Amino acid sequence: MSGERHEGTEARRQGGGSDEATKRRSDGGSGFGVQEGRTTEQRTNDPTTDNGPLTTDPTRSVPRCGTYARTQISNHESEIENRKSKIETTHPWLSAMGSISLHTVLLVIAAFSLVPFIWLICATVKDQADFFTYPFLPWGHLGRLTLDNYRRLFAQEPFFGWLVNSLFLTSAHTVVVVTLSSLGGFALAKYQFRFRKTLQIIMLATMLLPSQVLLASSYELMYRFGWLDSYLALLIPGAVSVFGMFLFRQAMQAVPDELLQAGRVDGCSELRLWWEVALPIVRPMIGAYTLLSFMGTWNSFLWPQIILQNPAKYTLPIGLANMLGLPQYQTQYGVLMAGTLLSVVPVIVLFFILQRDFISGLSSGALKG
Amino acid sequence: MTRQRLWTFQHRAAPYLFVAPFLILFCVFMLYPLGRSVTLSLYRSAGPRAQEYIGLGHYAFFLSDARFWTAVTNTVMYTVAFVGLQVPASLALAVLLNSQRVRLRNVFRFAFFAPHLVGNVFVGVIFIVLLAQRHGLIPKALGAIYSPWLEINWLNDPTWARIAILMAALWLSVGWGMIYFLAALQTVDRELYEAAEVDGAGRWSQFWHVTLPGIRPVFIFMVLIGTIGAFQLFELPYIILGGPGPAESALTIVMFLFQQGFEMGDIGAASAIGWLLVFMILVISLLQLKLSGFGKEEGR
Repeated sequence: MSGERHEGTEARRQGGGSDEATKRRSDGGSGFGVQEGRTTEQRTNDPTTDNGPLTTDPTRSVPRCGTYARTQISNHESEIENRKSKIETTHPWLSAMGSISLHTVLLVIAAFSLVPFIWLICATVKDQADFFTYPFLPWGHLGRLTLDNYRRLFAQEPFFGWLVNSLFLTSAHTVVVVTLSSLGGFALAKYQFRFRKTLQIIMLATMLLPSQVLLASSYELMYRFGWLDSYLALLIPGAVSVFGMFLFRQAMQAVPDELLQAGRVDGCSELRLWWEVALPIVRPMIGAYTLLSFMGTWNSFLWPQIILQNPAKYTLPIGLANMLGLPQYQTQYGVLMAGTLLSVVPVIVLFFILQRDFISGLSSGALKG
Repeated sequence: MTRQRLWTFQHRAAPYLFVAPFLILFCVFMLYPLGRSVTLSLYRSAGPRAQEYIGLGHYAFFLSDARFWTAVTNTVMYTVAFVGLQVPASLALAVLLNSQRVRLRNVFRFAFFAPHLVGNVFVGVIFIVLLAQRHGLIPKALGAIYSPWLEINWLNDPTWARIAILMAALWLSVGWGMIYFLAALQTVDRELYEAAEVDGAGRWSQFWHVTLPGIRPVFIFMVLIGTIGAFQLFELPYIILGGPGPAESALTIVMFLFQQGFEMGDIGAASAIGWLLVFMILVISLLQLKLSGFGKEEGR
């Protein structure tokens, strides 16, 4: 993660570095911009400091001061050294104890967080008789472990269909939303055009609205369009993401204008500038937003629940929620758990693929707040 | 010549073309429904077809409706409990993980964040079984500590049902909040801690006087986002309790909206409840921003 950030600063420096940094600082910009500005500044003008901020200013003003001031300063410095050394000389075994207890606490919390996953995996391979008898696995009778739950899941329910539906809808939606948001965000960040300010204010105002206020009127609109029980109702209205636009606007501000100008001189069209210059620079944000958007659509429940009626068109959350209501699954918990596990795995896999981008992208998004 | 003209045209029109797809969809699927939901809230309807104008009738009715107020009370209680627990827990976890002595930081970070990858519905299904009376993992674990806890009827007792929802929600979101706080903590200047240490500040006072002021914007952001999210609680109780729960102890505003609009079929009523929700969220957000003095300092 820190690697990414350094790359960012490095790129900025090459493209007219400190100038850009001061400009960003003076317009009070985003938290992220301020942070980067600060690091560049530190690197350029403080090779003299190695004892922290307290000592720098006095040493600089030394030539003008009298001897009294000089002794004061050196007293001060020795006092600082004194205190610093006191801090550093805590007993090694004491700090080892601290380290062990810190890790114990972390391990306990991690257990709370992960046990439901482990339990879930175990629950899918137990047969019905063992399900509640053993909290995790029947250790004495490992021969009784079975894949029956999975077999029943695919035989009794159109689960495979739901999985395909979810994969299709989520990937299609993610591609559309990432494309539109990055294109719009690019325009908002890198072009001056009429109504830009107005548009941004309207967008910001709608971002704070709870989406449920639109539920009834959107439903009516879908009814008028004849899109009830159709995937169009899930794909098209959801293609707008104000949040995504702002994330990309934020990220695209790091694209140096000089680079775009150079591209234009070389004869790139504006669309190619977006594709070949801007997108590669905001790559971490693409990863982060892809994951966010994928998670949102994959897990979304309320809107598809209202729109979809035909069980063959269900997505995984709707399908599972429906299975919950069926009497036979009041006892066949293993089947239900198998369905849940298979519904959770794709998101976790995607998270592992995009992890690096996600953390750095999300962090920069958070600091905007 | 025409080539030249085409070139300048694509340069001039580019930003408009780039924003156009978004703008069209935004107007049709966001601005129009937003306006429409205002007028819709003035009608009583049965499905999308039959509609009857009743003015502010819905608002007048709901504001004196006992079930609506049950939903509001439940939602507010949940929000206070959720934000009050989630934000400090996330922050504490982030501070622990930010310590320089932590080994395998990425592994821990993943472990804490993983629950957030599981969707609300799936968390609900898992917790139903985890909480099954006398047999589920949670009653068994609690029963091992203190045996009467084994008999807790989590999903049929009003108080325990609420605690169950809160537990599931916290499992889902504490690690998520931690990621934001962790990112914020890493931007706090290390030198400030060194300076504080030199001045003899202990851990606790370093936290109060260096850490908290340093991450204030993110802290406010998390409280605000947490509140707005908690006000929209729906899936967890809908799945775990199959609806409003025992004695309507988990009837939330959004569940009430869903019932009125899509179980009883009055989408006009659903719009009115939606606007009441908007109003409440707006008032609370502004109140929080005002109390936190956001925007006064630093000219942000």
